[in-house]
Amino acid sequence: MRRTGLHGNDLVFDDTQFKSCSKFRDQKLLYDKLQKKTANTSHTTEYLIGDLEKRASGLIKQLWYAGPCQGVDGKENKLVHISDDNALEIAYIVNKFNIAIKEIMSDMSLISDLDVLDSAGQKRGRLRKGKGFRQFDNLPIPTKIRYLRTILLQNSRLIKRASQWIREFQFQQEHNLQTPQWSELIHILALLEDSKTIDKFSKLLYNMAIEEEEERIRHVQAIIHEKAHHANKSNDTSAKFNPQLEHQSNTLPGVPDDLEKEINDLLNGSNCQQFFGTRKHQLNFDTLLDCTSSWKDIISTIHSDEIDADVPNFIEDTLQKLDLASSKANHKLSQINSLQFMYRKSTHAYLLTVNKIGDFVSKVLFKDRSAPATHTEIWDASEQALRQCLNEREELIATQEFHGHWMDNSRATETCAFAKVLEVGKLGYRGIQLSPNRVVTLADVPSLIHNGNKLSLEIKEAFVRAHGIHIRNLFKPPHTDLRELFYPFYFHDKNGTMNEESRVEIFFGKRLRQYPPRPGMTGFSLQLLDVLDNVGKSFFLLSSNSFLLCDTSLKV
Amino acid sequence: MKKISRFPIPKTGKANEYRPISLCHDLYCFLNGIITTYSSAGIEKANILHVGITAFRKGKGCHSLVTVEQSFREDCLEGNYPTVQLDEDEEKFFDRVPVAILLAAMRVNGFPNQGYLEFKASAMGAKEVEIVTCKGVTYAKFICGLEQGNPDSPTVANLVIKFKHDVWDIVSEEIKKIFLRQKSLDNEKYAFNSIDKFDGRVIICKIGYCDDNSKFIRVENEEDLMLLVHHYLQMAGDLSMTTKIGRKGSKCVIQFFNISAHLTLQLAQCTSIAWSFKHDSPIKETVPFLVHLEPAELDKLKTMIHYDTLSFEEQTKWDDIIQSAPHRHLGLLGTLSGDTSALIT
Repeated sequence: MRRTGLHGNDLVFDDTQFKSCSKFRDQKLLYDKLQKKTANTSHTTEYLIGDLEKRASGLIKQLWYAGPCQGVDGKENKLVHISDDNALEIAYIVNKFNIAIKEIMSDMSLISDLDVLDSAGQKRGRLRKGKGFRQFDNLPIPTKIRYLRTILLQNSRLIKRASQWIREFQFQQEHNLQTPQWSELIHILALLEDSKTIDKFSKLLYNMAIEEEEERIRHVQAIIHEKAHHANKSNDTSAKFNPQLEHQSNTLPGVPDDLEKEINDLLNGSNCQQFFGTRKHQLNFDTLLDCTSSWKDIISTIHSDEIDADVPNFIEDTLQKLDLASSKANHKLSQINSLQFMYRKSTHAYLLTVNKIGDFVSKVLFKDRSAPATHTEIWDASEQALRQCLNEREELIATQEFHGHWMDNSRATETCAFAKVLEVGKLGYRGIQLSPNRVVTLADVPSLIHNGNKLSLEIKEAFVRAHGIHIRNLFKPPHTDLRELFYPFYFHDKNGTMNEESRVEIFFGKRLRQYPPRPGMTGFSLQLLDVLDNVGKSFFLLSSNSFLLCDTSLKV
Repeated sequence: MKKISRFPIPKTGKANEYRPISLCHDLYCFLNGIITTYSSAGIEKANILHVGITAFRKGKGCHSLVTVEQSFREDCLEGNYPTVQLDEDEEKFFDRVPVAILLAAMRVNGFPNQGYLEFKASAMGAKEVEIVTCKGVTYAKFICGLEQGNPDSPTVANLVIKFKHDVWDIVSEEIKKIFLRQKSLDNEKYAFNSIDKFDGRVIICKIGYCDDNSKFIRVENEEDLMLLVHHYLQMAGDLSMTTKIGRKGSKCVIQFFNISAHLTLQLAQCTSIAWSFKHDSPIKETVPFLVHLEPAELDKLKTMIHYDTLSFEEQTKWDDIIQSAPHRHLGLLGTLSGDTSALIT
């Protein structure tokens, strides 16, 4: 059975409707092809970066000097015409970026640590509900670059610190000084990749620790012997069980209590977690113990003189290794920086193609927001003229004077001839008194204008003329107050309740519930007021701040 | 609660000019918000404000001014009557209005002594202001003006600016005679009638958005026009001197439409002066003006002043004053009507 249209005719689809879809499909196919092409080719990172620079700068030049294009009706539709070639070029550049990042990661032996980064992505995914976690490959390029940059920066800093520390260590070895902090040593242990060096260093450090705290180690030895052989006590008199020191070393035998704490803090701390995340094997304290065979074996070789003989040569070797590592890290950092720069260029090209000129301009010509400025000119009383401020203190005084002047009344004794503010109480002004029938004469000018006596007669006469009958009439109060402008709330004398409970509930109940407490707010939140009853609210508002001052005699 | 922190944000391209945004206490703003809802509703109910005042009112805004301006300009093209637009701008309107004037505006417009006015007066008492800058914080006392950040201040500002609109409504006996002479204008030919009437008809002849206000005048003779301009300028100056609210002279512009070349020559030769209150004393200020001339009148003027023989500097001086009609704003209307007719056919 054939389906027919509304008017009995067959339904015919217009192909032009799906033009955009087909265009999109074609483009997608092309992108896929390009991705395959670029994935197969393998280049060095330096070659890739050079190629990227050429392409991105060429694209920008092409777009920048192309000029505005013309639309279908001859009107200027868009600044830049989006051609397929340009779009493909951008896709190609993006793919190249991905490859360059992978190259750098493989050079730094970070490629196997992607699972660590992915776990970070998983955590983020969990936090954002409704969004699945993103793997490192699927992350956008700027975030990838940011990750790598932070990792590399941390590495380079740590390497610097390590080399510094080892030089200090060298110096202290020569002069028989005290050992530096334990926390620094752990960093170096983690930095060096070879397990042999870790072994050696750990032994060395442990020796030094023992020298400091011999008694504690002997005590530990005694505990081990006790626990292992069950009352098979050794004849060594030096290693005696000391019950006073037992509580200090419960968890890890052979490790001083302070050291254990420091290590745990380091491993759990935010700085170190990121650092260990870059390693091939995620290091814990247990794995560190595995690396250094076991502490028992170390204890057995405490008195060996082999390590002490090799120490100077060993330190020099490690320093050389660190120098190499630092140069490598710096080189990779520079590569990543250049990649970041190139990516910015390519984003500019992209923004130009999509006609987001505002975004493009904001990225190219961005402005730093500055804090509110101070006033820079101050009144010099000795010279009777304005001059530039000399220091910050003067600038602050100048701002105080300048803005204080704007917020202050005129220096005359009366502000207005027809209106006078009633005296100021504790809570503020008490009201206004209007006197529209007042006739202003020349004698009143000094009280109305500051230094009125010094003014010329022309100004004085103009001022008096301005206070004529026409303007005087403007200050006349109405015979009867308008009913609409009465204040709707007032308190009853006896009960202390307000006149219209329902209105009070609307404005102090519902509205307060709408106000959420702010994160940086000190004191109480507005929601607190909602908990109080109406009497409490009114009492609070009245007692603290003089708000809702109303006359009880008023009636709506 | 009466503590305010101010941020003097400097204006771009202007030395020693700031936009002082003030942050008020949460509870202070909250209570003020409640009070403004009641007071502004009362003001609208009592029909206190003029139709032309459009700032911070329900169902009004700058968009309502566009139609007025456009219809005024269209009328200028259709009828060849001499017309004037007086633009006025207050200096630091929010920050500089004295408390006495604020409270007087409320009282004059029918607010009773108790209630809102009492509340406002108590709230306006001396406040502490901390001025926040990049170099540190200083303290000052806030005695006069309205906070830019308080929900209550726009409604009160509207009441204050009503003084200006009221001043423009003042009709002396001399002005009455001028109005009575205008007979041929008394028809409904124009979309926008900007003649001042005093027989009870509601006419929009003055518009304003907060501190920017303008007054439109149209008469038959050029002599009458100049008399009215003089009158309205004087009135504005008198108000400035009584209320001590300064007028910004550079922004107060007089725009002339449909006047002859002869009058423009006279205007260029004399200086128009207005009074205003500035820095604790009244001063005289020259008011800039702009003339929109028709092409024929422009040619006549150029021949009168020998424009071609003048030096470049003198020519630029004249160019600043004169603008040739048709006015740019009217281009839109013509194209719209053309397009619609094309669509119908």
